[in-house]
Parts: sequence; structure tokens; C-alpha cells
Amino acid sequence: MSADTTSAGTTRTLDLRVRDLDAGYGAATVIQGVSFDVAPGEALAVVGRNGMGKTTLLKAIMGHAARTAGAVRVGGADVTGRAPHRIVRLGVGYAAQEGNLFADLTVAENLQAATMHARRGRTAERREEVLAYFPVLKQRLWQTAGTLSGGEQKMLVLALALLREPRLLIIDEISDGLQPSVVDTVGDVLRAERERRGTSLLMAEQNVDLSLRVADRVAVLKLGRIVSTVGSTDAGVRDRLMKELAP
Amino acid sequence: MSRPVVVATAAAAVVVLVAPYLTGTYYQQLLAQAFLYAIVAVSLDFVWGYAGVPDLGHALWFGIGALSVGHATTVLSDVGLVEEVHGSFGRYALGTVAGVVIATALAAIVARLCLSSRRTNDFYIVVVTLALATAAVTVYDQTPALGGGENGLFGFNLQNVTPLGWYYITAALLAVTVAVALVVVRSDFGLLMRAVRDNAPRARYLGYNDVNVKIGVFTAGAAVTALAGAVFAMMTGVANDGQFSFTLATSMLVWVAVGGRATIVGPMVGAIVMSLAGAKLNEHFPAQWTIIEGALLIAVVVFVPGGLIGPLVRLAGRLLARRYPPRGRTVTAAAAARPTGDSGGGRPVIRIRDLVFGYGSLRVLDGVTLDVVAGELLCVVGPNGAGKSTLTSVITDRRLRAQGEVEYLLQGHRLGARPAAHEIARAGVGRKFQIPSVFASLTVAEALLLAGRRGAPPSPWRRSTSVEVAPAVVDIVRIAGLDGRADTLSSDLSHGLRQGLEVAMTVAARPRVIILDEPTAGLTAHERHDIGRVLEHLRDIGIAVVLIEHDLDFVVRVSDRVVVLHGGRVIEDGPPETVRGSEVVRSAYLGTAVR
Amino acid sequence: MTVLISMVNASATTLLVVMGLAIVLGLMHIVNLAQTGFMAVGVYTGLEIGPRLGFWTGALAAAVLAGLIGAAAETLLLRRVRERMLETMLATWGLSLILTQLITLRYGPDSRVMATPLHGSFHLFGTTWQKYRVLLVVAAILLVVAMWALTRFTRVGLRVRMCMADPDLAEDSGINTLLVRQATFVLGCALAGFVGVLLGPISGIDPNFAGNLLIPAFLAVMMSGRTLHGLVISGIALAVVQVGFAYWSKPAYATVAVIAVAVVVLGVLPDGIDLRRFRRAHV
Repeated sequence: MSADTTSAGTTRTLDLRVRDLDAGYGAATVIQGVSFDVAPGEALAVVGRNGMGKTTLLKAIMGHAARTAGAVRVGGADVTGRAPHRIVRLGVGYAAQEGNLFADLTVAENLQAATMHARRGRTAERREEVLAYFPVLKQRLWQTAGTLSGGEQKMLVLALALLREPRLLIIDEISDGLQPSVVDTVGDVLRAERERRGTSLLMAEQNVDLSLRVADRVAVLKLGRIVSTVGSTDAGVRDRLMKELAP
Repeated sequence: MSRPVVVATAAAAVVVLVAPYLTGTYYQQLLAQAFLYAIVAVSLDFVWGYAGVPDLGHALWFGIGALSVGHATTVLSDVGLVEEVHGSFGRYALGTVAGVVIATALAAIVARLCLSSRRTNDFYIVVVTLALATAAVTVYDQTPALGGGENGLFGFNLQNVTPLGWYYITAALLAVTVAVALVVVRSDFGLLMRAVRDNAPRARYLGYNDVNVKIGVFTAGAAVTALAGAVFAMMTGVANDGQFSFTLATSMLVWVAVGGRATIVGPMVGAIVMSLAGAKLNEHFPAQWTIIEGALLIAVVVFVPGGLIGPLVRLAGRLLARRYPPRGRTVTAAAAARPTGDSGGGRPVIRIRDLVFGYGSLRVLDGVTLDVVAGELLCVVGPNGAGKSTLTSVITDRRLRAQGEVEYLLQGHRLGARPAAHEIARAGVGRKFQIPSVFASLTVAEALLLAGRRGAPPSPWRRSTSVEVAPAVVDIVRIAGLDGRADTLSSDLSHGLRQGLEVAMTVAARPRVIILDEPTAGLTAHERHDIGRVLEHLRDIGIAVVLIEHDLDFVVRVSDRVVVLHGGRVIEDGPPETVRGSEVVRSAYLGTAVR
Repeated sequence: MTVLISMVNASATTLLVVMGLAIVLGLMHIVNLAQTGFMAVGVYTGLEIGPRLGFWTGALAAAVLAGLIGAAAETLLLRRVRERMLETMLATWGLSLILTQLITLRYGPDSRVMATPLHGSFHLFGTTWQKYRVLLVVAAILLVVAMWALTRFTRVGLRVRMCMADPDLAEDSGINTLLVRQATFVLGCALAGFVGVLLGPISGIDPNFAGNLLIPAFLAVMMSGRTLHGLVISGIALAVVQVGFAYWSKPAYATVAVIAVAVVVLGVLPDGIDLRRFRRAHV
């Protein structure tokens, strides 16, 4: 998380630039003129209550939701309007909030599926690395992913995103519905991964504590706009964010 | 009805009454046929558009009606040639009634076999209806004694009715059909049809037998179509394999698709226009007409899924709505809040004994024993994978094959050994799903209306405009930020608002037991606090509240009793403070193995 | 014995037809009601080209032509209604009407015959086997084995299974789902065209010659529970029932019997024939 790690890893990390992004479904514009940067190796959390547009923002960046205006650049390349798989192949890992694992495939098959497009050779090694983060998944390799409990599924989702050794990781509300101990595990994993590989990170969250633990900066999304951005080590930041999120 | 609608209806009536005098008998006959096809289109719109059951072999019912009249009024030789026609009133009546009865019975059997609650996609019903229509043609052609084989039956038309007479008879039949259809789809029952179409499992957990709704609508559609087929046969004096055929069934689909599904008027107009155009073009270019039909079907389905006529009707409706605002539905608190739960808390309402459930060798529930008590707020906690959600599923749907006993002690309701989900819901066990699950095409008020009836069959003609719900529901609506959105479509709600609507729907059903799977997921601390207050209120009026939750702080604050599940077993059962202090719970919760 | 041979032959025919359907349905959730249209396109291509350039050239040309039409249909139409099963069904049915009618306009509705590329017969187990029919049985077996190996052991197979399970997620895993979908649909259509020619020599050919095969094929797919072994079992079972009924009773009732069998099987096994269900208990 220090500046050193990031500069050392510039070749391996990607930055993200979002400019004046509008996005929505049908006639409804959910995201309005959102601009922000995630520097190489930086972690940005976007927090906001339900219905503020966090998921839509991430989907729009990934090419899943309709972008009506604005531009998205990943590692300098303009990806506006590109198909999701092409964005992923640049080295972006994306963990969606829903529909984020193959429910009918086994855990092992899910892991294999996630590495379809990873660089070969490192795959097996990386698999062990990631499974070391989540020992419980190791015991469930032959179970169908859909029969895992909610928390185990979330761990698998994160594992799938990490497996591809992303240089930019985009995670949508990984803490939703998780019990506190698992949220802590998730926080540990994300921190460890960033320290090890200097991965850039964009996370949408409701959980302020997790955001502060993992991210360098926290942006507050309200009604489709970013209303403020704070550093995660600023004085009184937690109270300020809590106040922002209160209805 | 607003004035423009009255004027439009009157104008249409005048046109229909006067039109035959401007044309000859040829067009009177064509129009009479078109009107019968329009009846068929409206019935198919009911089945497919509103109840969501795609019947690809809808012509089968039409053919049964026609064949029945033909068979009843003719005498056939051994090789299936018409030798004599017995055109007495009794035989026509018998043929018609028999046709409708046979079609109804067959449709009921087909629907019962194809529309089980476990089948979630259209593939099954589509293939079976398609296969039946195909088989019917084969059987017809190879059984001359039944309907003349490939030659069909002919010459048995009703004698003393003129083309003009048929024109008015069929026009009247169509008017009645459309009027009834419009009343039904706008009624409370219409809401239920759409609810079942949008989200059958949710309707089931509100106490509605979704399968029976679909079966009923499918069967009614078949009956109406058989009647139209019978009238068609009396009018034309022809019954042949074409009336069963997949070709006619396709035309029916085209009428509805081109007209616009779920609009009634659209398919009606579609059928009239297309069958007139078809009849004219078919005379000169039969092969080309089929190609045009195929191209239209593709074009509409792929490029204008709303159909061509339906959207115009909707547009007119919207323009009208601007001048004559429609009466929306209002949600109000019921005046006298009758306590919904059982008086005298402390009595167990669900007793669970040694419940075991698993997939293959994996045991998700491994002997759960638990009492759910009236007037108590029970929290079920446990690490991920402990079996909490599975426990909910198994006690709200006993058709899931779990071993062990679940006894429902709900006054005034007798439940069988393995009650289905809708029966349990109707007896007063409400369930909120973890992932919000709402009816996309229903507004907030409409969803609450259906929920509030708790499975009691809604009226097929009455259209309720005000929805009376328990005061607790009004509280939830306000807390969730749903007030002022009574007429907002559920599909337009955000994730958080849907979550609130789910809780509101569950409570609106006046349950005696309410099982909430993570109602606070995705809510802020403030909203959690508010939800907590609502839950306490429900508990205070005597409802047994079961809460499946992760947030231990929240659990300790609101609950009276906490049950800890781990590895499919109850490892702790007691007051929140004791449970929180328990070493075994701490280690279970923090993921250390306890066994 | 003749009944038995008929049953074997009918099983092979059903399997050949079913495979194209199953690829497209099982993997892409598209119910291709135009399957018979593509088979008709195939067989008439075979009739045009076969006599001049040879039967097998005709079969290949049929596959190519059907594949091209399939590619166009996928790109222009089906892509817009993806994952909406009923819409794709109606669209492919419209396509089928158009293809069949175009062929009728060009060639007329009369029945034609196609020369077989493999004449003669041989004796084995005290009965006569026509070489070409045996060839069809072998082709059906090869097709099944190839399909199994493809989905089971190759990366392409896993890719297809991923797209089938969740296209959005497959995209997020870096897979070009549009390409996979199109390739699968084209493969299914090409297969239909090829199979159309294969069945040519043993059928009376008219523009709707495969119409009767469609229903048992769909019922078989429906019974199969989306598994390959289920597909094989149900395809054979329905062929056996159909031939049996046609032999011992009336052909008209065979169609009804086939539907009844399918409905009963699905009444007992609502998820279709899936042997993994039984195996899972031992894992």
C-alpha cells in the first residue's frame, strides 16, 4: 500500500480513468457525470447507500450497463463501449455482486474456468496461492458451487477474481450479507494481495470499516454523483463517512 | 370508463353494425371468420400474454370444437365419406357442448401434466403442445371414421342462417369475449395472473397456488377456443385437419405477437387484419403468404417485441391518462388493527423435531430440533454454511423431502402430512427471501394488495382501488422509503426499495409466523434500527418472528432468544446474552471447528 | 428381427437429428425450430450437387450452406433476443416457414428420391443389413462420442459450458461469448444440413421431409435433462417406442405413444434423465 510498492509494480498494475460517465437502464440515468481516477497501485472505495448507483457504475465501467456518455480508460487504453471480455483481457478482474460464479459447476471447475485466459504456467502455482487465502474452499473443491453457503460463495467469487492475477481489481459489495468474521478475512486477503502484487483496486462498498481498512481513498456516491472524496487516514474520516451515509 | 373510451367504443359499434351493408356477402363471411379468429386470439392472449403459458398448439382446441360439431351432425361411410347430414338443433348443440367439454378436459390434463411448480421454463409446455397438435393431425388423417381422414368433413353447415346473420352472431360473440377479457385482466384476479407470470415462486409463498392459476387460465382459453371452433364449423360446414394444424396454430401466434401480447385489443385487431389480408393474398399467392407470415413473425418477435397494435393502444391510453388521470391505488392502514398473531404468547406455533436434509451425501441439516413460539423474536444465527437458509426452505415447503417432523400449530388451519408451500403460507407462515424477489409488472400497491389477501382467490371482475393493510405494513412502507410510490412498478424500484417491499409484502399477508432471511442485508445502520423496531412491534402483537441474521450486534439488540446453527445442528439455544458469551459459539462463529 | 433392425435404424436417425438440436438448445438455450428447415436446405443442396460432384461433396456443401444461413440468422436476428427462449423459438419457427416455402417455390411440393452412395448389403446374425443404414448407425455413434469428448476434455468444451451457464460471467472471465454463441449455432445448423443429406437416401424427400422427425427429437431433448447420456438414452427409447407402436399398432398412435412416454418419464423424473443424480450419492 505504500508508494514504493506501487512504483515497483507499475509494469504489473493498471490505472483507471473515468471521465464524465453517464449510465443507466432504459430511460433512467442512474450515473450522472461521474469522473475519478484510480492511480496505478491505488485502492479506491466507492461507498453509498442502496440505490445510489454503485453497482451501475461498476457495470458501466465493465461494459455491462449502457453507457450514454463519457469515457473509461484502463491502463491508457480507451475501453469505452468495448465488450467485457476485452476489458478483462487487459488484466482487469471483476467480481460482480450477483451472478458471479458458475452455480452448476463444481468449485474446481469454477477455478479452472476463471483461468481460461490467464497466462499459462503460473496457473497451478497461483491456484495454490489463492486457495491458501481461503482454506475452506479447498475442502469444497468437488461440491457444486450453487450449494455452497452464501459466505463460501462470496469467498469463491473473490478467489475467482484473484486467480487471474488481475492488475486492476474491481469488486462490487463483497461484504453484502457476510458475517463479520468473513468480512475481516476478505479485508485481510485484499490487503495481502495489494501488498504482494500492488494491484490497483476499485471497490463498491456499504461497509465503511472494510473500505477504510482496504482503500487509500474513499469516494461517496449519492444519487449517481460523487459528492466527496476523502483519504482513508484523514482525521475523523469514519465519523464523517457515517454521517454521509446516514439517511 | 373515461368519456373518450365510451365514444371510441360507440364508434366501433356503429362501424361494426353498418359495415356489412357497405359490402357484399363475401366480405360478410370473411369478416365473420375473422371475428371468430379474433376470439381465438383474445383467448390465446389470455393464456400466453397474461398467464405466461405459451401454447404453440392452440389450434388443437379449435379443431376439437370443429370436429365435434362435424362428427355429431354427419353420418360417415366406412372409408370416411360424408353420406348424410343430420342438421337438427340437438345435434349441433350436442356437438358444440361435447367439443367444449372434450377440449376442456384434455386441456386440463395436459396443463396438469405440463405445468408443475418444479418446471420453471417454457420449454416443456411448448414442446408438448406442439407435439400434441402434430400428433392430432396424424391421428385425424389416419382415422377416417372419426373425421373423414384427409378429406375432412363438409356440408353440415347450419342451414337457416344467412351470412349477415353469422356476421352479427360472431360480432356479438367477439364483443362479449373482449368485454369479459378486459374486465378480468383489469380485475384483482388479473393481478394474480400477472404475478404468477412474473414470479411464480413468490406468489406461492404468498399463499397462492400458482400452478392452479395457470392450469385454470390455460383450460379456460382452450374452452373458449373450442367454442369458436364449433361456431366456425357450424358456419362454414367444414371440419378438416387444417383446423388442428400447426399452420393455423402458427397464424394464431402471429396474430397475438403482431397485435401485442397482454393487450387484448391488440391481438383482436391483429387477428382481424391478418386473417382478412391472409384470405385475400392466399387466393393469389399461397406460398408467398406463408413467407410473409414467417417474416412478420420474425420481425415482430425480434424487432418490435411489444407488437404493432398493442403499443398504439398503450400510447392512446397514456394520452388519455394525461387528460383523464386514472385512479391509482392507495395504500392505507386498516382502521381497526386486529391483532394478527395468536393471543397468549409463549405457545409454540411450529415444532421441529430431528429435521434432516441433504443433497447426496452432504447433510445440510443434521437433526435440527427447535420450537418457534408466538410473541417471541427468535434469531437464527450461525456461520456461513450452517444451514440457515436451508432450514427456512424446508419448513416453508414440506414437499422438499426432508426427514423428521415439522408440526404447525396454527389455530384454524389443518395441514396435511406434507403441505405444499402455498398451503403453509396460507396457514400463516410468511417468508421473505434473502434476495429480493418481486413482481416486475405490478405496482407497489398491487403487490401489497395480493400479499394482503394471503392466497384467498381474488375477484375476477372487481378492481380494488384502495389497499388496506396492517399499520405495521404502513410503517415498513415509510421506513423503506416506499411512501408516495404506491403506483410505481416494482421493476423500477432499486435493490434497497425492493428489499423493503419484500418485507412489507410478507407482513401484509397477516402472518402468525414470519421468517425473514436477512432483511437488513444492504441496509444502513439507521435503516437497520428502524427495521428492528418494526420487528419488535410485530413480536408485541403476538407474531412469532424468526430472523436469520449475521449482524450479531443487531441480533443481541432485538432478539428474545437466539439459536445457533452450526454444521446443520443446533449448538446453542437461549437468551442472547448467554449465547453471546458462550465459548462454543465464539469459536463456531470465528470459524474454528467444533465437533 | 426386422423390428429390431428398424429400431436400431430409427435410433440412429433420431440421434443424428437430436445432436444438432441439443448443441444449440443445451448449450445456447435456443430452441431451433428451424432445424427441419435447415435439414431441407441440406437435402435439396445434396440433390443439386450430389449427382454432379458426388454425394459427399454434396453433404459438405449442404453443411456449409446451412451453416452460412445459420450464421446470418444468428447475427441478424437471434442475437437480439438471446436468452429469451420463447422469442428464439418463434423467430426460428418463422425462419423455418420461410426456408420451407422458398424451397417449395423453387422445387415444388412433390416427393423426390436421392441415390445412396453406398449400395449393397451383407449378412450377419442371420439377417440382411443394408450397408448404408449401418453407415448411419456408425455415424450416429461417432457423433455422440465426438460430442462427449469435445465438451468433456477440451478447453473449447469448458468454454462452451461456461457460456451456457452464465454468459455475463463468462464475459467477465475473458471469454468472447458472442463468438462462442455464434459458432455453436452455426455448428448446429451445419450439422442439420449435413444430417439432412445423410437421411436423404433413406427418405422420401419433400420440402417438409424432416417435419415428422422434429417432434420425437424435441421430446428426446426434453427428456434428456441436459446431459449427453440422457440424450442418448431418451433418443433411443423414443425411437424404440415409435417403431414398436408403428409395428404392433397403428403408426398414428405411435406419435401419441411417444408423447405419452415423454410426459410419463418427465412425471417420474422431473429433471429428465440424469444418471449423475444417482452417482452423486456415492461421492
